[in-house]
Amino acid sequence: MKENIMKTYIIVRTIGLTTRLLTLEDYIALIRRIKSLYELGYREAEGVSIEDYSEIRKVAAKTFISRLRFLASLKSPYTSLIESYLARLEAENIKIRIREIYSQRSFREHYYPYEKSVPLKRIQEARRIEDLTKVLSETTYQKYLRRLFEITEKPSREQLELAVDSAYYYYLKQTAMKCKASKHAITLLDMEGLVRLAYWLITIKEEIAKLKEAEILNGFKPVKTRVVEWLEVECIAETLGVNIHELREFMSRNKITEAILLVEKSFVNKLEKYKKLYKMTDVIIVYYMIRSRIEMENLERISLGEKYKIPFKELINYIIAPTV
Amino acid sequence: MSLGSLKYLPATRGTLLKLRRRLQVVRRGKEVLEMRRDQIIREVFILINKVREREKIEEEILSTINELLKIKALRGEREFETLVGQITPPKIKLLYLSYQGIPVPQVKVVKDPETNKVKDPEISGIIHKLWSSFKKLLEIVNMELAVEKLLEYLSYINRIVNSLERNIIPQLEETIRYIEEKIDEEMISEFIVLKRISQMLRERRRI
Repeated sequence: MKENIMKTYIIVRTIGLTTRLLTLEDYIALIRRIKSLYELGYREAEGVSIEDYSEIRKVAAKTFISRLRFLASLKSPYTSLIESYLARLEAENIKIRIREIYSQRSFREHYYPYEKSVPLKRIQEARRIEDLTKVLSETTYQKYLRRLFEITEKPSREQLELAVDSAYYYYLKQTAMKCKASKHAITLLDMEGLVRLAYWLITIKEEIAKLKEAEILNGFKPVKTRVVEWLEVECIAETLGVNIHELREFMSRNKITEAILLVEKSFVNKLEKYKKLYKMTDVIIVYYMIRSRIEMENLERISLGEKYKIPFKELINYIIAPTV
Repeated sequence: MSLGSLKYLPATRGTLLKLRRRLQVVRRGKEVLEMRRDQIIREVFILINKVREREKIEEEILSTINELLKIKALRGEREFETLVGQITPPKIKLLYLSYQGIPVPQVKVVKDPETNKVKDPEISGIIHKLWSSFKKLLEIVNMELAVEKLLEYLSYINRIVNSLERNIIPQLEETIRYIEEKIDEEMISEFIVLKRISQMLRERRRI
């Protein structure tokens, strides 16, 4: 009974929170300097110029974390789901450490101020990949890393990152199922995983067969979404409602960034449709989490675009916001 | 023997022969230097024609940088920098090469950046493209350095040729002419003295 009340409460609360998400008009106002980030509700961004990328990045990440932490603090049945979604930042931190180890360079400024299963310091202190896997041995990320080391002694950086991503989505969807999240909410998580998978399918297509055989990609496997062939970029695109011709055009010219942007834009539109269809369900929580993450990335894009003086017409195309 | 000391030279046949030989050497030297000057000018013109491509290469680099910035803005600095950071930077060496016998500092690429360390074809592609343009620019820089050094050397040769033409050769010619006149005068005065002596001797015999 109490659980049901809390479910309804968090859903209603999230509906309220979604009204604070930035819209395309807000982004335009931000770029055109009609409104500042502070005026758009980012209280920590007082006096911060949109061109100040390092500050914007910090404020955007902090806001994303605090938004989701607040939602998680409501002690609803979805707390663990929200926390596991936030673990994406930890997965990103692990990937940055992998990149540091492989390149033997320091990317300290690129870590997110977030830790969950392992203290960030322990991740940063791992000197070799073996040390890092030892640090992660008790965590959810170990699942596919172990399998990867079974099939290859020296995995490539991309393979390791993919294993981390896959483990993250496996963990996220498993948590969603444990929380008894609705089919539609899990479908959205499936789709988000598929967007990420699409990137990997384009980037390391030659290694996909080997990784599929070792079941390392299983974390991305859709649980509730029907995809004709989930390891085919075009099938993923079709599921997300992407214009295939446009996607093929980008892929043929190796314009991966624009191809993924196209896929993400379609995904956001799909997200919006789900929100409208299943308004009073847990879909709204997943919607809010994903939109908050996209908002963080949009702000980074706008700030970088302003820093590099990218023309307004082009910059506006970089923003991922629902158009339906 | 400095040029200043020419005026103190004894006006002898020996000196005259020595100076004539010296003038011949100086004239030959001047000719050689003029030939070398022409050769260097020809080389400079060839290099300048290639250096003109700089503008095109710079435009190429700028358009690649713009493309790169767009990718960076879209992917975010975190993703972009950590990915590009995987690429081993190129190794460049500075050495001296001989252009027409003149040592010119040259930038040589010892090792290209290892773009294959990133499997993302867009990132590795754009870095590869940027590096190719940059490599072309390095070649242009090398040519510019060569042109600069060749021009420096050319102005040095010009100074020497001018100094030979306007200073050393006229002075030598002047000195030679002076000594020739002096020797001629001495020969005439000797001839007159001898004539007088023989006249006197003839007169004494008659007495």
